[in-house]
Amino acid sequence: MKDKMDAFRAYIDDELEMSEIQEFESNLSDVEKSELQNDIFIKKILSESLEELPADYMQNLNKKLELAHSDEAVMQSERYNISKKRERANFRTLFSKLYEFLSELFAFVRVPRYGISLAVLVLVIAIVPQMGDVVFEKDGVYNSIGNFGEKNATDMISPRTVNKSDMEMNSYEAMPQESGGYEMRTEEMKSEPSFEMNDSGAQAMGIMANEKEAQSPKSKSMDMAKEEQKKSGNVSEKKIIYRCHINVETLDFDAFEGNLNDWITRYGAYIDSKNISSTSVEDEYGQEKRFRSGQIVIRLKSSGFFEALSELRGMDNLVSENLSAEDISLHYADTKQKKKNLEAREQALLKLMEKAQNMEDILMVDRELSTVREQIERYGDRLLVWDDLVDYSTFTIYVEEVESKKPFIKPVPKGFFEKIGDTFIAAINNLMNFFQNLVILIVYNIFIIVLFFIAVFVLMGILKKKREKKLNSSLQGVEENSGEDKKS
Amino acid sequence: MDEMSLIKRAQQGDMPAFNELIKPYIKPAYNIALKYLKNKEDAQDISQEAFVKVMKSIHAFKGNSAFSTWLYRIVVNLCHDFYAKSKKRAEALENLSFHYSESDEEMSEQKDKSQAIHEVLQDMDEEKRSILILRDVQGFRYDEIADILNIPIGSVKSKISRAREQFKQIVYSNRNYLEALSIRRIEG
Repeated sequence: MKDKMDAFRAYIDDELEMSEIQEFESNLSDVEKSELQNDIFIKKILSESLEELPADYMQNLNKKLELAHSDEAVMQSERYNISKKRERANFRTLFSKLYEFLSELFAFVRVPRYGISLAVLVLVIAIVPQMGDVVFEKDGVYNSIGNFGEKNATDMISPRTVNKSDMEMNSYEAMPQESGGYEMRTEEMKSEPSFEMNDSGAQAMGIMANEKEAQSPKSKSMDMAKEEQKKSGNVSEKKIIYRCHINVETLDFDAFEGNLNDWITRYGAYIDSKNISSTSVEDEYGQEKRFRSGQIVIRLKSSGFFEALSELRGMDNLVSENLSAEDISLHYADTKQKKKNLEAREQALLKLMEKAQNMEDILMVDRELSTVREQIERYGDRLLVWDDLVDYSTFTIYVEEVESKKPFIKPVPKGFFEKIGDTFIAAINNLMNFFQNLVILIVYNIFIIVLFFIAVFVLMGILKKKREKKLNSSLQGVEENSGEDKKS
Repeated sequence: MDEMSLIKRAQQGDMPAFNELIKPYIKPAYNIALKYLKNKEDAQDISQEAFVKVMKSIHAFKGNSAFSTWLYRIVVNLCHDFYAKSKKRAEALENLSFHYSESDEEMSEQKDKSQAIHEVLQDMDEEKRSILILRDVQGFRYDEIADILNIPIGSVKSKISRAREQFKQIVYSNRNYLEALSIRRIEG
């Protein structure tokens, strides 16, 4: 039996040689031939049963992918912030240990201070020219640290444009550039908060912005909200789900939490979830400091979304902002209609049930009825979830307690003095970047530097000893000469 | 651009590259889910969820198997989980119209056939259904099916025979299926 089934399979799947086929066919009974024909026919109808994608399939898929991608980008930035903090802690520990080691070494070898300064100077002169070529790998992101001036110019990212083509790319800010260069994620996150909308959300809000119009996203989003609210009268009528991911830095976590609680009370919001954790970091003096960070998910009435967002922006140092508006009006109406149809079908089935004459019919109708009711319940649940998401917007706030806030540069100066001011800030940033990169480079070359210092100290020690020896021998010569003089 | 380059770009977060990468697999993935779950909406949700999952974990794709195999394995696993959680959900609304709707007569022959195939597949054992969908509906090779389902190639061969036999027996057991699929029952 097993062999027969296997032979059938091999025959159907064209695995047999011509001679085997002839042998197989000649050994088949009439019944087996008919069975085989049926098998082949079944395979054929199965292969022809592929169906086309539903009309809205691609649209929905793109929406889901975009949403997931933007969530992923936010998660990445959060992960990056945590790793940065760890890096900073590691740097501090490393430097304090290096400082102690060098101090002990200097004390032991008794190298004069100007010797150390000279060695450092030689080292810097030797290393700095390499800086344009060196490439680091950090968290899987390669970053060229050369061309400081140019880099800074690109770092001062202009505000996100909100035209359609850009919206398609809006989630890829933290990703490598086409040209092959890569931008660091932190610096991107320092740019003017961007706001994102998926296609339908944008259409729902009537966005037709060009690059110039998009130069002030904050005011732009507020204007859009007002326009939208004027048009619709009520946000919930349009069935738009608003979501906002915000990254905030604060110097005082308790104060921020207090302000946030006031904000929550003022807007009648509630905390959906809250995850706070603290990390201990050792400073350069070996003192332990604790920094808190975490994620707070807040839900609040959509009617106050933009007003609340505006206030939230001013609460503390906003590092990044990711706003999405998903228009589900069509899906909502569609699902509502489906539910309505099913309810009508449920009534028809109930009538059928009344007319059913035998047990078999009753059981069949009952089976279908339970299926329909399950579907009704499912659609009902889906509508309830949507209602909730539409009525209440979701704010996901990632807050990080830091020692000092990151410097923030306004991207487009309005006047001459502002330009001067911004240029000055940019110059300071440039300088800061230079020293940061220099420190990174030193750490990158730490083992070479240590070996260099050891070589210098050993060399200086040898020279010192030689000098002392020479001095001693000359002193001895002088003493001998003076002895001879005395004798004579 | 070849698939490997698209994978690399997608791993770096290049969304257009990811869209290009998954383009040829969208319809097959949807059809696997559709045959597995029957309900069109569930099939849409599950296949789309699979693509989202693929996007989120593409950085972990090492290329040990073909991208398509990896993707289809995710689709099949999601279908399996979904089916296990709620078997009844997989029943489509068309069931009702098939048996009771007044529009029975208006239903095209093709729709009858496709509906019958869906129903027969739903009545099959889950493993046999998976193999039949992958082999006879999607036309995958034995080695691809073995990779997707993570079973030896020999098991695929033996199971496909049993799956076809089960499909046929379910069709034979129901007059509606025989009529819808234009199959004549063999007595013997």
